[in-house]
Amino acid sequence: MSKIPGTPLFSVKLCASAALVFVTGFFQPDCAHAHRMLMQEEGSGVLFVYYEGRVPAAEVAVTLLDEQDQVLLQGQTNAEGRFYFDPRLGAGVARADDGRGHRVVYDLEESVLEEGFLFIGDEIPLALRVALGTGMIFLLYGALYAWGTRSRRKKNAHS
Amino acid sequence: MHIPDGILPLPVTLGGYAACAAAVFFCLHRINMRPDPQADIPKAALLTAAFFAASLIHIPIPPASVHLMLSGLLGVLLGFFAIPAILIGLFFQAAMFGHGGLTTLGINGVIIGFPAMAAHYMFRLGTLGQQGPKQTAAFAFLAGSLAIMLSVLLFSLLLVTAVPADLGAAVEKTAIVMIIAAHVPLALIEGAITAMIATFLLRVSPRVLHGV
Repeated sequence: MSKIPGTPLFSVKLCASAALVFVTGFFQPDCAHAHRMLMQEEGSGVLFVYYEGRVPAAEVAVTLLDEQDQVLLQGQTNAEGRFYFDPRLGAGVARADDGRGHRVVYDLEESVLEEGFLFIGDEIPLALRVALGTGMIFLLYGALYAWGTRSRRKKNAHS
Repeated sequence: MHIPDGILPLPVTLGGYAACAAAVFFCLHRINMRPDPQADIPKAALLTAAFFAASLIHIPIPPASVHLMLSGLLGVLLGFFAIPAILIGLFFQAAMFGHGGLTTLGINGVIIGFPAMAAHYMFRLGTLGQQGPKQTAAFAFLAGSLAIMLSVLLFSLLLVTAVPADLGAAVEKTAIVMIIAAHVPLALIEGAITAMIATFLLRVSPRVLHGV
């Protein structure tokens, strides 16, 4: 492929190369991850707050609540994304908020992260979830296309 | 910029759904007015899948990090299909990646979909009557960048006005400034991607670019 006259800025080769880099970059495990904030307990009285990919979430506000949603303790994670507290406080829930629209809630009694009810879970490998989501998107559009074609045929048949 | 479940007050989530429903109704009405409403469905399917997967591309911009959105590209290439496509993409992002949520689907659709339509109108008005590669590249770049910056502004506005934060006002203000600053490089990257793809399509298949 050579540079096409009339396209001083972008050639077919450049676009194809950029597309190849883009697609290759997607399959690099370090690059390909979503951007949720997560929390886990690391022993008694230690919470680790991180973004997906195990990136520590520093200076994130953490609030400990009891069963009646009363605030027991407020503070921030340190530079390593860790928050230390006295387990004798009797906190039931830990909530982290980074002020950028990321918030995570961790049930300290059940030792379970509260996830959105639509999310199918991290247990399924990411590549499989991508394939499943992409497949369902194509299936949905295919169904829409088929339905639309059938409706048009009926409409044309009646007219 | 995807807002998860459990953050926004109920009136805001309902308002988001209402705004999105109105936008989808308008878009579907405009699509149905075309001679062949289904002609762009295959293109919409491909771009929805790209939008769905693009949020996985993580770009570290210290001290924050951002992810690709491709909302400007969807606006430029899909036109009135953009908002329904983005809503479908957001739904599957919430289901498969935990990115966003079901109760916040409407408001996330507003934050990402409305700027995509703004990008569409900017590109259409900018290239009206002039379909040369330079104009196409320039307005596609502007459209791609505009979509990101408008989304950031809407998101920031929502954070300030509607999200009850556990942080102090000063810390939250810093966080919001960081979000805006972190998305400026992303806006340039997405503008470049949109410009490259638009120029490429102009050369190899102009109907794909101007069929909307």
